[in-house]
Amino acid sequence: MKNRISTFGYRLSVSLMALLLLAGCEKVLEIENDPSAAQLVVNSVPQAGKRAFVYFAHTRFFLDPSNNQPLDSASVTLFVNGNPMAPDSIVNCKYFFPYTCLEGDTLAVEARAGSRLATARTYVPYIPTFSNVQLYNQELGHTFRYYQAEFDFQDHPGIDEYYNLRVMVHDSGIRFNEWLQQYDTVDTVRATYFMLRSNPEITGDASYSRPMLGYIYTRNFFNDSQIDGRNYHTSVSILHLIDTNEVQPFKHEYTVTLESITFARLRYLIDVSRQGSSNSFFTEQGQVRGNVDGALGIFAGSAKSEVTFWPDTLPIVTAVPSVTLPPPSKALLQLLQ
Amino acid sequence: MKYRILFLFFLLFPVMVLAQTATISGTITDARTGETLIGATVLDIRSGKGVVTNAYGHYSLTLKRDSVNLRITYVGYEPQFFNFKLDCNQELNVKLSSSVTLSEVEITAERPGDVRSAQMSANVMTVEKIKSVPVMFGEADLVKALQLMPGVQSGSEGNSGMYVRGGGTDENLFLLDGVPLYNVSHMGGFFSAFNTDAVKNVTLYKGSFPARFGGRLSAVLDVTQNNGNDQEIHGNFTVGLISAKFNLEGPLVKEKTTFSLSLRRTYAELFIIPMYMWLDEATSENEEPTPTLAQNAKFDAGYYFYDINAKLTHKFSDKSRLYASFFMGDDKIHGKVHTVTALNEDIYLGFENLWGNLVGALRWNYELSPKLFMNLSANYTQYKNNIIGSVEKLATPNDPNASTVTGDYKSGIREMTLRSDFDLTPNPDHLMKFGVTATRHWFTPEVASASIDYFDSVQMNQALQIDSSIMSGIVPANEFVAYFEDDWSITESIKLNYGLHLSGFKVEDEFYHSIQPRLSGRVMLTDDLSAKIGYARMTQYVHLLSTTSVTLPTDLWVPVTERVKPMTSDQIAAGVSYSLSGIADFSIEGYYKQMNNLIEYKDGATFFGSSENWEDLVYSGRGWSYGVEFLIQREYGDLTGWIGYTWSRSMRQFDREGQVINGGNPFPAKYDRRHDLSIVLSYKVSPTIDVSATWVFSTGNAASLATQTYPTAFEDPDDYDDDNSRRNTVSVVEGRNNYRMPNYHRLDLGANFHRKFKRARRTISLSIYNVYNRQNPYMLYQSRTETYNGYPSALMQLSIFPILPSFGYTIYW
Repeated sequence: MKNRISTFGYRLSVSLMALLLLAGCEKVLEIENDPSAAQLVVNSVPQAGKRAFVYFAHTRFFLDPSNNQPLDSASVTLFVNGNPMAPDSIVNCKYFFPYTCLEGDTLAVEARAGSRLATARTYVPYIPTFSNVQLYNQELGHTFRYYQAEFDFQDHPGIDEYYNLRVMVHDSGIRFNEWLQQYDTVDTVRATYFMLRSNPEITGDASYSRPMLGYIYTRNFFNDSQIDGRNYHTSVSILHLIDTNEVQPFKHEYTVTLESITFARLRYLIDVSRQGSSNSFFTEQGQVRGNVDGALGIFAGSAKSEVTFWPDTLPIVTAVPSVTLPPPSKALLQLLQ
Repeated sequence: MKYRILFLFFLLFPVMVLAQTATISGTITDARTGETLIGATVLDIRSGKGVVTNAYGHYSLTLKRDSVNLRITYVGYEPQFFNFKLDCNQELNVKLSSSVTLSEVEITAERPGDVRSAQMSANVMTVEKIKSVPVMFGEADLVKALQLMPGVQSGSEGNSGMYVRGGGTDENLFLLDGVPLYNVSHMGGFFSAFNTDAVKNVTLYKGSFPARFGGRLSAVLDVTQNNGNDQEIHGNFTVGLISAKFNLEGPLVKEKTTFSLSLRRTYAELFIIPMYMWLDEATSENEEPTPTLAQNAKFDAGYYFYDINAKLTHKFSDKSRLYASFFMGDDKIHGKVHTVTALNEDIYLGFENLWGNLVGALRWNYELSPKLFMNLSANYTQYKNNIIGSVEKLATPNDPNASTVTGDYKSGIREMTLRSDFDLTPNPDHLMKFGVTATRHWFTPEVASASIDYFDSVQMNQALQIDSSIMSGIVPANEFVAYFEDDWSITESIKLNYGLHLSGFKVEDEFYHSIQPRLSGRVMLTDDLSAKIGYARMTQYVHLLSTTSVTLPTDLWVPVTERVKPMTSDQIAAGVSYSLSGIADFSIEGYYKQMNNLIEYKDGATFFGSSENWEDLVYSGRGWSYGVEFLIQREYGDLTGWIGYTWSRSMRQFDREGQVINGGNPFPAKYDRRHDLSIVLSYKVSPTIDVSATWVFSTGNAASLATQTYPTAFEDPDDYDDDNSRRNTVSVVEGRNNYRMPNYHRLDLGANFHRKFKRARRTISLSIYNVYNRQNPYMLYQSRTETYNGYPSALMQLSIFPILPSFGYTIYW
């Protein structure tokens, strides 16, 4: 009887799936490329300590985003602290300049393609520095582990406006994947946080965080109450579920990257992040705002520093210092609007 | 100024009442079933004065003390005539018998939207009309039938959402026996929540709203449930492609107390059970485990929806009736997987989502005097959505530590209403309606809780126990409404319906109020031709947060706040109605609607799983829509049906400071469609066979499509050439809703075969949806596995319903 039911069920299932496949009809829509819709693009993120380059091209038809086609009659000039500079090499729409960016540089770009002109200005922020890094490792039962890293970093007076804090979590180990019935090595999980610099023009707190993907959670980032003069104190807290499927113990490597960025870059990163999450049936695709006159794209300096730690090597503590969860940043929310 | 008008009215009121008149009042019912007839016309042929019955079948006609020649008519019923001398107030209860075939002589009713009615922008939909439309999945659907009327559009393929005159789907007020229904769909919108077996009468108002209605900007759908046969017990049972329904009605005490009960339920599980039986066997019998499944996994999953409509009516006397209505409809999707992992962990993964409506209404009608009819009601309505997910790990010899992780998510809205309505007929030229309403709302935008329970078998204690609630809690609000309207026959040819709707809404520390004037007028140019004009202001205090065109249980109802103001609309409409005797009725209407404080989501914003700070995710702006609607309708003879065509435009603009969308420039609303055509024909081939056909055409939906891209700004120059990095591109969004999907068109055919038996009759319904298998667009996406015209990717269109035959079998007794 069971066999009869299962045979019937099997046939019915196959029939139903066939029906569903029939129901889910797809077809390619015809859409033509309109060359006149192409616009100029200028992209450059000059970094302290890195060679300057500018990407100069035009937008591409969305069905073919892979080709970098050089512009006809194109020229790019970089102005370093007011002094013009010509590129010394051009590779695939990238114009390389014989100059390594320095903290505090003021930069401008002038890109021409025929009669069309694109211009933008930026500066190279100062590199933030870490100090007084404290790490904690707490085991909660057999299932959870709680990591917390606390550190200070030094702000630099001057033109810096915003910090972009990245937490890079590298997991190395082998896990048995029961769904795929195979052994996996786990890839890097990365999360990015934006933080507003304490600024006399911004009242209230200055924290902002987004939940991280996967099994890692975070609790706390900056707010103004944690700022002592120009010393920033913050902590990164991660609740980690110990995976009993780990065949080989994992070695967790956490890298905290602190990047000082300009307002234009912060806005650009937020827009790109929004657009990346909006390519779905459920949301409207957003526009990405740049800072280049006469072209799309971004021309914005950056400076970063990193600290890396290995929490598994730390002694296990029974408790970690309590951290007050800051309220969401009203200032940044205003900016996001 | 408005106070002066009110004062003048009350001053003149006694004068009108004291005129030398007498009143005829009573109830019009169906002779066979005792069901009250809504919108039946009572006309004194001598004076030309007439009224229509209200939602309870009651009428009151005040005439001069003289001879009267009454004609009482209702579409589909034999008219009745009464001649008598009216010298004092009289009660006249009339039972009309249904006619076999309608003739044009009988079409004299003043239903909303008809030639003689002052009410414009309205469509009355009878159950017979709904059932005559070819159906999908063998289930007649009220909302889908209404989508075929001009000015009403469906959101997407097969969806029971309604977009009326450029408004959103949340701007429609759905009333079931006078009680708002918040979720009007089942199965993601493919079925509406209205079981046609339980429905008696449906009226859709698209504009020129009578003052008794309010609370939404774009439409009011007034649905009345059957009272039940007061003579004998009848019933029917229908089996469709994926659902069955049962209806029973009759007297508990003959001609005194009646009941009506309708049940409907899907049996989609029958299709799902074999699927997981197959999955079970695939995982347990195969030597090599299926690569996508854990070993020994046991599956259990299902989906169903059901609804129950019940109504109890008791007649204390001809002047006093009590109605108790009840509606409950839920959807449930659930799944459970039991698996023993390769490491001998015994794990249950569970998921359950239950959502639905609960509505209750208690109403008491009383004829205080022949001229004054009263209805008191107490209503309750609720919509809830509950999602539960759990992971339960049992203790095993290898791993004695048990743990349970449970997540629970709830959202919904509840409201309780006390309402009083009065109908007053002071003289033959006025029919006044007035009343007050008090409503208490409880909004639960989102409450989520999580619990982790971990038992450490080594230390024999609860090693970890977390139980927390997050997100917003219950938000109470109070709403008050008062209204007055008067259907005033100024002369024989000029009729005016004017009124005022006052409302106040208190939520947290905010109080909003609104004064909404309503006006509609009709001038009879000839006996068959009338010109109409109307104006209505509407205010809406609730918003539906939804980011899809599909109706999902995760859509959230939220109240207005300090930052997000009430939505308002002002709509004017003008038109002409013409009745061509014996052939058809024609109407042309033009409208212009302006909407303010509409909300749109910011670019990239989504409400999936988060109503927290929802105000931060929306912008406020304005919108406007205009269009022309044509309707040719034939309701009598063997060939019936209608042709509806709408030319329309619906735009949005968000240019307020800090709330800019699309650069502040106007953009088309998502369901802006230039052309919308519906042809619905039904033909009675013989007494036992009728056939029907529907053809619809509409301009494709608007969508935002970025046709240009460029790389994101990489820090490393090599990333510009790296194949993986190249996919990180920025899309150039030229404008919101800048692209038109392909046009939509579809042909449906249906046939009903009736047969009578000694004690029963049956109907076999066959229908074919999308006869010529048109692949209509449901959604667009970019595919990187398909190529187009030499490009490495393609723009794809997904269509969901190809040609779809279905059947239904109904037996009536």
